[in-house]
Amino acid sequence: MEVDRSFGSTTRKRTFIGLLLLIFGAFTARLVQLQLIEGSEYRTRTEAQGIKQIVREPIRGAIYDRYGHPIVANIPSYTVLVTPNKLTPQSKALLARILATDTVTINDKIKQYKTNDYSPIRIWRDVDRQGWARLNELHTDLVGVDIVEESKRAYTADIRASHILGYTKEISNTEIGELGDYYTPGDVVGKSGIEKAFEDHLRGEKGYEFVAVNNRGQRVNSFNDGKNDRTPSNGFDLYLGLDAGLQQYAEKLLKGYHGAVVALDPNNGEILAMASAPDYDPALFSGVTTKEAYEKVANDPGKPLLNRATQAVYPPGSTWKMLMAIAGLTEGYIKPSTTISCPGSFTLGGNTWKCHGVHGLVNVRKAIHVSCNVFFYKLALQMGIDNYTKYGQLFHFGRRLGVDVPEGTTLLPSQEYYDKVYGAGKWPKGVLVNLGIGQGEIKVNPMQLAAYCGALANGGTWYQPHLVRAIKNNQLGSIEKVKYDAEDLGISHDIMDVIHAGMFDVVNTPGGTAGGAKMSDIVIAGKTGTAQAGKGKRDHAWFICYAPFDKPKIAMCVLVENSGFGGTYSAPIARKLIRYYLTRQREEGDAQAADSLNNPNALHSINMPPGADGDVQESSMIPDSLH
Amino acid sequence: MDAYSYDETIAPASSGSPLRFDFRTLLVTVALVAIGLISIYSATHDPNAGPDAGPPTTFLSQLVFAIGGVVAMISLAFLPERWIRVSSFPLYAFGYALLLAVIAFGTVRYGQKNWIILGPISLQPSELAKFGTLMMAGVFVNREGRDLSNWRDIAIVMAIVLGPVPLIMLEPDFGSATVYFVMLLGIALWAGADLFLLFSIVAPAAVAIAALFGSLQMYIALGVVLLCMLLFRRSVMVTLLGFGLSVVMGFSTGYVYQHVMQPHQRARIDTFLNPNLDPRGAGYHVIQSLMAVGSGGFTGKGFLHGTQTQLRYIPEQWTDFIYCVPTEEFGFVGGMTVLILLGALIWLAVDTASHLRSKFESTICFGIAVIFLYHAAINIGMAIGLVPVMGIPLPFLSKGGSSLLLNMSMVGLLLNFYRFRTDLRRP
Repeated sequence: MEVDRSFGSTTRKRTFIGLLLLIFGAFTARLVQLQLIEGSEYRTRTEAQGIKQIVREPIRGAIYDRYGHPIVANIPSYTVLVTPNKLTPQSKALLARILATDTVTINDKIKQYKTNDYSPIRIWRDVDRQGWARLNELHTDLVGVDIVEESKRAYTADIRASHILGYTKEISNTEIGELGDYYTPGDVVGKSGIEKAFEDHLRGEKGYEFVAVNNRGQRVNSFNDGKNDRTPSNGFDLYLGLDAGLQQYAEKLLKGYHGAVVALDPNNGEILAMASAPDYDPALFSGVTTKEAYEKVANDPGKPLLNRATQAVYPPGSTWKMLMAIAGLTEGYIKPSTTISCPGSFTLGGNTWKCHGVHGLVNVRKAIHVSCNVFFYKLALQMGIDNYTKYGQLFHFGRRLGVDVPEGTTLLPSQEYYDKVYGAGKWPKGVLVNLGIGQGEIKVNPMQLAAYCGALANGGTWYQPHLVRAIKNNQLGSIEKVKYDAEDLGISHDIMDVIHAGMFDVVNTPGGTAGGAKMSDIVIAGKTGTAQAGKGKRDHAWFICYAPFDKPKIAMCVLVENSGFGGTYSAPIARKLIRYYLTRQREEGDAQAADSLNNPNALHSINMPPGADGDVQESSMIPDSLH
Repeated sequence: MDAYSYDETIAPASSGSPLRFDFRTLLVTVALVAIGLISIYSATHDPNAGPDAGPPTTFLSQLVFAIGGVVAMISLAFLPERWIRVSSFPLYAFGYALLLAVIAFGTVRYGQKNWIILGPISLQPSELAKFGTLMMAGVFVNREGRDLSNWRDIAIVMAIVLGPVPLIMLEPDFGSATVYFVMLLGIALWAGADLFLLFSIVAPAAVAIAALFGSLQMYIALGVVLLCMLLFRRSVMVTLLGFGLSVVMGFSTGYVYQHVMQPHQRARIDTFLNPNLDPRGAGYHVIQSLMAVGSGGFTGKGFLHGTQTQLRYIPEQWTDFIYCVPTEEFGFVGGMTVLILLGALIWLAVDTASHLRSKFESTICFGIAVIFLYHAAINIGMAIGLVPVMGIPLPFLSKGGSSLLLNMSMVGLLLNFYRFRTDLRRP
C-alpha cells in the first residue's frame, strides 16, 4: 500500500497510460468503424447532400432569314433557382422583396414547380438587371436561393414578323399533358408561329450538371470537374426563305392600314415576306408578360393578334378571273379569240349585274385587262358550278395549305355546298354569276392568292408556300432542306401565255386597272380585285402580281381592308416591294433600310454578342412586377 | 523509504544539462501545430475567391499566434527553473484577476461571457487561469511533508484547483470548468491520493452515463464497478461505501435528467444518444461531423477537397470540430496521425514526469498530460460521436489564439523540465 500512495509511482503512471491507451484505442476502433468499414456509405451520404443535379437548359435554335441575318437570337437572361428544403422564411421574405412580389406568390411558384424538396427548381425567369445585382449582393443571406444565367429570345429590332415567328413562353400544365415527358413545369415552349411549329427542332435537349452545394443550398462549383455532367445539346437553327429587308419594308408600308402582304418566290414557294397589319411586338411575350400588356393587345379592336395573311378570309374579287379564264380555255368553253359583247351590264332572270364600264367586244385577254365582269358572268354560267369547283381545287382553294403558321378556314363553294344551303337543285343561277367574278360565298385568304399568283407566274406549277427553307442539324453539322409539295397543274403553255398577256396589260397597257404599279425598268404583271366587305363598308382592295414579267422572281398578294379599289392602294405597295426585292432600293420618299439588311452578302455572325445590341436589351426590359 | 529523496525539494538550476533537450516533444508539437494550421486553412479558405484573394484572415491570425507560441515555448524552455517556480503564485493570482475582469468587462461570444477584448487581442482568461492553477498546485504538492493521503492536504489542493471554478461557471463556461475537476483528479492521482478513493469518485460518472443509455447498461456498469472495487481488496465497509456512491448516482440519473437539467442540456444528451432525433437542429453538428469523418475513408478526399469541409456543412468547424478536417481530407491516415501525435506528446509528458526529482516539476508535467488527454478525449470523442457536444477545443489544432499560446507555453515547461530529467525512474 505504501508504494501505491507514493508520489508519481509506476502504478499511478501505468494507471494513466492505461487510461490513455483505452481512450485512444477506442478512438482508433471508432475511426476504423466510421472510415474503413462504413466509409463508402458515409461518402454516398455526403455526396447526396452536397451534390445536386441541376437541369441545364439548351440554347434554343436561332432563326435566320434567307441571307443569313439573324431574326431571332438569344440574349442572357437570369433565372432564380430555389431549393425548397433549404429556403428559410427569412430568405424567402428577402427574395420576395427583391423580386417585388410577396411570399404567397413565391410559395405558389414553389408548389407549382417542385418535384421534390431537395432539387433546385426554376421559380422566376428573366430577372431584370437591378434584381440580378441585388440577388448577387445579398447572396449570402439568401439561403436556398441561387441565380443562373440562361438565355431568352431576342428579336432583332428591325423587323417584327410577329405572326411568322410567334413567341415562346413558360409551358402551361395543359401543354405538359399534350406535349409529353420532355417538359417539366417552368420550361419555356414555343406558343405560336414558327416557334410552335418547329418546337421540336428549336428546343434542343436538356442536359444535366452536377454541382456541389454548400450548407445553405447554394451552388459552389461543379462536381468532379464536370465529368458526370451531360451537356445540353442546343436547338437546331432555322433558315427561313424570308427576306428581312423586304419584310421590314412591307411592315412599314402597311403601317396605318388593316391588311396583309404575302410575297413568295414563284419558283419554289418560299415566303419572302408575310406581313399583317396591325401587328404586335413579339418581345412583349418573351420572358415575363404583364397582364395589362397582354390584354391591351388581345382586346385591341384592330385585332393585332389575327394574322390577316392566313387567318382572315375575304372573297377574291377580280383576282379570280384568271382562274375562270384558265378553266374556260382548258375545258374548251372559249378560245383565246372568242369574244363576248359587254353592254355594261348583264341581266338574268330579272336581276341585273353591272360591269365597270361598257367594254364592247372583248376577248379573254381584254377581259382580264379591263376586268370585264360581263365576260366572266357569261363564262361562269356556261361552265357551271362543277368546273368552277374543279379549278378552284386545282389551285388549292378551300383547304389549308400547310404553311407553318395557323390558317383560317376558307371556303370553295360547290354543288353540295349550295344543295345544302338552298336545298338540292333549288338554288338560283344568279349565284353562279357572282362566283364568276370572285364574289359570293367564296372565301380565300391572302396566302392562297399569293400561292395562286405564284403558280400563274411560273407557268402552272403550284408550290406549297412555306417559311422554313432549311434546318441546321447541330449533331451532324449539316444543313438539311425541308421538302414541300410541288404540283404541275397541267395547264398548257398557250393558255398560260394568254393569262400572262392579260396580266401584263392590267399594269402596262392603258385602260388597265393597275397603272399605279407600272415601272419603267421592271415589268410587272398583275390583277386587281375588290372584295365586298358588306353593307355600308368600303370594299377590300386586292392586288396580286409578279415580276419580272419574262422570268418571274417574286409573286405577291397585297390586301388593304376597306380601302375601296385595288389599284389605288394595293398596287403601289406591291410596286415598291417588287422594286426593293429586285434592286434593294426603296422608292424615294421612303427611308432606306438599314445597310445590313440591304446587303444580302453581309452575313451576320451566328451568335449575337451578349448585350451588345442596345435596342435588343431595351426591348427586353419588361417590368417584372406583375405576372 | 523510496529510492528517491523526496526531501530534495529544490533541484539546483545547474543540474539542467544544456545538451539535454527534448527534441521529440518539440517535433511532435510542431507537427501538431502544422496540422492545425493546415486544417484551419482548409476550413476557412473561400473556394470561390480568386488567386489574388490571399489566405483567409482566420488562418493568418492563427499563424501569428503559432509564431508567438513558438517564441513563448522556446523562451520558457530555457528559463531558469526558479523563475518559473517564483512566478507560480503571481500567475495564479493574475488568473483570478482576469476571471473577475471578464465577468465585469468581458465580451459575450456564443452566449458565453468568456472573452476579454483589448483592441486586436482577444483572450480567454480561463486558459491562463488553468496554467496558473496547475503551477500553484505544483508548488503546494512540492512543499515538504505534503501528502495527499491525508484529508487536510486533499482539501487544500481542492481549494487551490477548484478555486477559479465558481468564477468560470458565472461566465458560464461549463466545458472549461470541467477541465479543473479533471485536473484535480489528475494531480490527486499523481501526488499520491488513495486510488480506491479516486476510483470511487470516477466510477459514479461512468455509471451515470451508462444509466442514460438504459437500465441494462446501468446494471452492467455497476457490475464492472463492483468487480473493480473488489480487486482493491479494501474492507467491506469501505467497498460498500464506494459502491453505494455509484449505485445512488446510477439511480438518481433519471431524476436529474427529468427534473434538474435545463431543456437545452437535455437536448444535448438526447442528441448524443441519438443524433438522428433532430437532424436539422441539435443533432446537426454530430451528424455532419460523423459524415465528414466517415466519408474520409482510408486516405481522404485530398487537401481542400473535403466536400463537408469545403461546403461548410459544419458551422464553426475550425473551433470545436477541427478534427473533421484531417479525417475528411486525409482520411484514416490523417485521423490516426493526429491521434498518434497527441498520444506521443502525452506519453512523453508522463515519461518526463516520472523521471523528475522535483515534485513541482513532476506534478506540472503530469498535469499537462492530463489536460491534453482530457481535451483530446472530449474533443475528438465529440467529433466521432462518442462524447456529447461540449465546447472544449482540441489542443494545437482548434482555432483560438490564447488557447494555442497557452498550450505551447505548457510544452515550453515540458521542454524546460526535461533538462532536469534523471535516468532514474520513480518506483
